[in-house]
Amino acid sequence: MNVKKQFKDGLITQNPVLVQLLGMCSTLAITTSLFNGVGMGLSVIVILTCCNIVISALRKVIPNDIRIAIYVVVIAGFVTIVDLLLKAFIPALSEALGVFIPLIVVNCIIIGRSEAFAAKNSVGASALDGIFQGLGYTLVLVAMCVIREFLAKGTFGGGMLDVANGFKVVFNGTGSGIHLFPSHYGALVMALPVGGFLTLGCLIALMQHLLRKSEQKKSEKKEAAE
Amino acid sequence: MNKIVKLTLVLFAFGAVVALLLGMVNMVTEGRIAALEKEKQDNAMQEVLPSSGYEELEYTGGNPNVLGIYRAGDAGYVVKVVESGSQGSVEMIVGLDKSFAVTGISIIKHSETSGLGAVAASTGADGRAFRNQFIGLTAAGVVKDGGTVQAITGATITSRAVCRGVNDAIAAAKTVG
Repeated sequence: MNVKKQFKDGLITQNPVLVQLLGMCSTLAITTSLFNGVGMGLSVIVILTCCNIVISALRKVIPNDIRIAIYVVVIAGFVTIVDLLLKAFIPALSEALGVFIPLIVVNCIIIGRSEAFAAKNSVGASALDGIFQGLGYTLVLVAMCVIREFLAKGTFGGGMLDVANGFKVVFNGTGSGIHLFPSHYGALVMALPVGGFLTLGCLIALMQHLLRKSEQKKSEKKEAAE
Repeated sequence: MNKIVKLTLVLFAFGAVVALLLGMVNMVTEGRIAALEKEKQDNAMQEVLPSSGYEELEYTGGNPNVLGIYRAGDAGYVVKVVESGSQGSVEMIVGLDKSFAVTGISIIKHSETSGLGAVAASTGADGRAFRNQFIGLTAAGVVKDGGTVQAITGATITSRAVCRGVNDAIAAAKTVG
């Protein structure tokens, strides 16, 4: 188990959104305010880690030919159970994160990591993979939220920072955020799907550029050493 | 041949175990969820049209979107309606005074996009501003359709659904009033 490599893979070199291009659908749909990014990110970290553990524990029992069908059953069942339990026992949290949970069922990061990692690795490594890949996903979501929210509405921390009632952090999506410029100057298109594609495209390009650059540097170093 | 049978059995076993677990969790949580929803609906009814008691009336108008009509003492009516929004059903409570003008609306259940359509149900300032537009109206429509309601930015479909809900509620209340 190589924790450091897994950490770097999850956040940078194998970032689920920017490099593996997984979970784009939810990334495009929800990154309109900081609250959404943090809420969805946390939900995915928890569920991805749990699903990875379950799939990894069952990896010797699951026949290879029908593994995808079984992943779908396990993930959908698991997410629904979490949803029901949250609704019944922690209604406040369910209210805040309820809209994200059904999105997770169809989030291909979960099935992608089951297939690519949990099915071949030990329970411990799979749990770490879930946490790190989830963190990588959250990082991108937050970056996109900050960019899109700023350009669209001129705010920072929408839904999470409540400046109207004194400066405090709320976790129910009602805070108005800090206004950096009046909202009617914002480019509303950035909050719509078009803006999502634009932002994601730019981020992916930037990521590829940086990755390539660091690779070049590495090979140059190698050549110089030879 | 044997392989197919084995695969079928394994998949069946996984499905059965997950279904069983889901059933068990549902059994445990069903009652609590229903009670919480009832409480939420009661709070919403108090919010849109305060009254000491609500008497359920029989609705015979035939509109399947109308889930229930309640008489709020002498104050007017409270109607529960469901409309299809952009992502799923939007359930709301509409309060009406005796002349069928809206006294308030509250959205109790929805699955609209967070940050866009979900603003309609938000307890924040923008959500309240959107819902308060309906107060006093006797017919609702978004500005784009020639009405007076300023739609939520990026969520015209949700805004339209709320308008339809208000109109359905008014029509339904008229049939019993």
